[in-house]
Amino acid sequence: MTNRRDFVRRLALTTLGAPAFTTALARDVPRAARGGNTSSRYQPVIAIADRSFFASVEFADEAARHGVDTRGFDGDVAALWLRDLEPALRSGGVALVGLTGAGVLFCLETLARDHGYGVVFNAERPQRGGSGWERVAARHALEAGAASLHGGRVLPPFEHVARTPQPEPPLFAWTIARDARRAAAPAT
Amino acid sequence: MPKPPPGVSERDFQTALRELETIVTKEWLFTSDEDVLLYRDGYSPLWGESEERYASAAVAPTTVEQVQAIVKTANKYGIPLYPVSTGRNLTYGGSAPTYSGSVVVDLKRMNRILSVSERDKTCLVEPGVSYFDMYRYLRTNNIKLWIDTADPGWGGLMGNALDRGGGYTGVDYRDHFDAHCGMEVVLPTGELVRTGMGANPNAKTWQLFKYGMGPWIDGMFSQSSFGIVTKMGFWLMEEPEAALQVSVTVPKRRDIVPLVDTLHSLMCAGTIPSQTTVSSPIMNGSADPELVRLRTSGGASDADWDRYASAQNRPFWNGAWVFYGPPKVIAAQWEHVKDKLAGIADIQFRDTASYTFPLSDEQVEAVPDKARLGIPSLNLFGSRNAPGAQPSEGHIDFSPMVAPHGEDLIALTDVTGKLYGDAGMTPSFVGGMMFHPRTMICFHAVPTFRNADGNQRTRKLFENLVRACGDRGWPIYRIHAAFQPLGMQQFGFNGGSLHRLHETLKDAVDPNGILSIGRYDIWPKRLRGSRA
Repeated sequence: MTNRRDFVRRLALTTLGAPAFTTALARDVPRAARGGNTSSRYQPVIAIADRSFFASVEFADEAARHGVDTRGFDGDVAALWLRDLEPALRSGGVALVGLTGAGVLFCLETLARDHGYGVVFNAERPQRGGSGWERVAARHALEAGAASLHGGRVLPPFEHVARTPQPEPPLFAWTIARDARRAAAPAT
Repeated sequence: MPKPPPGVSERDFQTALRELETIVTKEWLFTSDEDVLLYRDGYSPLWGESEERYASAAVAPTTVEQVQAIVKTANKYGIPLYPVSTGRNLTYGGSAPTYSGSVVVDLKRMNRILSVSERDKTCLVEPGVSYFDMYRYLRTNNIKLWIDTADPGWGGLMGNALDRGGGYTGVDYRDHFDAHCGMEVVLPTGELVRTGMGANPNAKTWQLFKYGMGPWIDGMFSQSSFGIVTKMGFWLMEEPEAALQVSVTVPKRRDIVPLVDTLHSLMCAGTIPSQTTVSSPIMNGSADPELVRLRTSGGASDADWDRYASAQNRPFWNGAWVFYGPPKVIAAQWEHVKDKLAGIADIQFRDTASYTFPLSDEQVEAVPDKARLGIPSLNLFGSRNAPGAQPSEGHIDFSPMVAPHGEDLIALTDVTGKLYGDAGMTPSFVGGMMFHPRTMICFHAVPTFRNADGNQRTRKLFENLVRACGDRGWPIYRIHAAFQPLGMQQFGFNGGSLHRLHETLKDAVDPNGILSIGRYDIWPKRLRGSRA
């Protein structure tokens, strides 16, 4: 239901019909998602993985271990947005998490704003990476999503341990969920 | 509490806001800082400075009648309005008004696809319909028509067309304003007008024949402040049987002359149907000091450049386009093009990708260059495209138009490269893009920042680019809101008679001067001279 808070923000259905894309979920799940705990506190969170980056897939893998639906894309998030993410946000009561480049986060933040969503968690991946950083970041992102969906507190900031440098641009772990005013660190 | 627009009393503004609230209900009038700041230009070259433009409020109607009522209220109280459709035109100003204090009329909720005719290959849409919306609608309903999408594809059909944006597919579709057929417009007085055949209440050809009867005035509503367009028809491209994406490379700098001459002829003949881009793998290379020296010297010789290219073992120029149609026809077209270009020594031809339609969802996702197949994409923001780019910083487009002549392209890269060098910045020339068959747009992405020092450098560079190219007969075709007065100065024939005509028209159609004040440097009489 569109409300005032959703504005600028919300694109309603077109007169001539709603989208009817379906997702071949299995194709998108990195490794361990199916068979996960569907009663998880992290439902209904969707984790997205940019398959261009191993770190992004690791992040989504960790989310999948917690029973979270995952979706993959290869750099260009448009098709995933059209097919899965926009319909999910439009239906409401969902949160998105991911570890992506700044451009993808910018796109999703901008598009999600039309549905009343905002960035509620954002952490830049350390340039030198960190042992298990992606997995810890995933848990924090999931907690931020769960807090948005079900209430509760976000985990405190976490430390990281230096490891081998990665030949990758800056990556950001993030959560997009309802109520942008909860954001501790805006993405833009 | 929102601040009233300049020249409007607090009392009148509050009264006007109450009337607007009555029109759209409380839910759809936005006056809090938190809401209104969503209309800020995230890529503003004036970010955080006193000249940055802000809205005072925003209102989001859903019907034409609401738009008319909003306009009437604005006239009553002298409230400046600034309509936006999807507001994602980030490199040209986004949804921020050109005149601070304007009330943004956000048309995003008017997002109905009113009709699509597969038989006639047309559609009629409201302002909030995005390329995503229309693409999804066509796919979902298995309609064998293509949109021609801007790139990135998150904007809207109407807003992009009215700003004269372009795309990549067939010649009848990729000039988005040229591909429109019929409008409905709320004039600044609140009166409703339909253009072309739409002025005949019974016409069955509103989206088929552009002109109707009498002067054709649709152009008045592009890049203008003469009305709020509430409906717009477009021609859609029939899905072809197949497509073949191809490219050519040529080794030497001066090869661009016969290459572009030939491509131009082939496009005018209809043999090459799509948008065609020529770019330089050499000039768009890495930040090699020798490359930077050549690019910023303002006149490195062909011999210098060719030595450099040879040492890099890469071709100097690349050309890319797409053939659409039956496979046999495509094959014949490609052979003909090869024959025409064969005179360029050491030219290389390459089939980049071939497609047979329709594509499955999986095939669509695998297309690397989606816009050329009418598929909206966000690949320009893709993770591999801008390593190190921060979302908090953006760019504005400098987009001079040049004749389809290789000599002009070379001269332009010399002139702009020198200006970038003088500014201590790396040239960002992308290439010559033939959206229109008889011109090239030579895009440069000029970076903007979230700090005044960086933006001051950007503004100085941008102004120098506009002036230098204007002086040489390469004016821009479209420009960020902050630079529209400078842009219009480049069209100053006969002491600015075109600009005077624009303002004469403004006085006639918008006597109270309430709509899109200052857009493309068109000011209402009461503000002329102040140029706020």
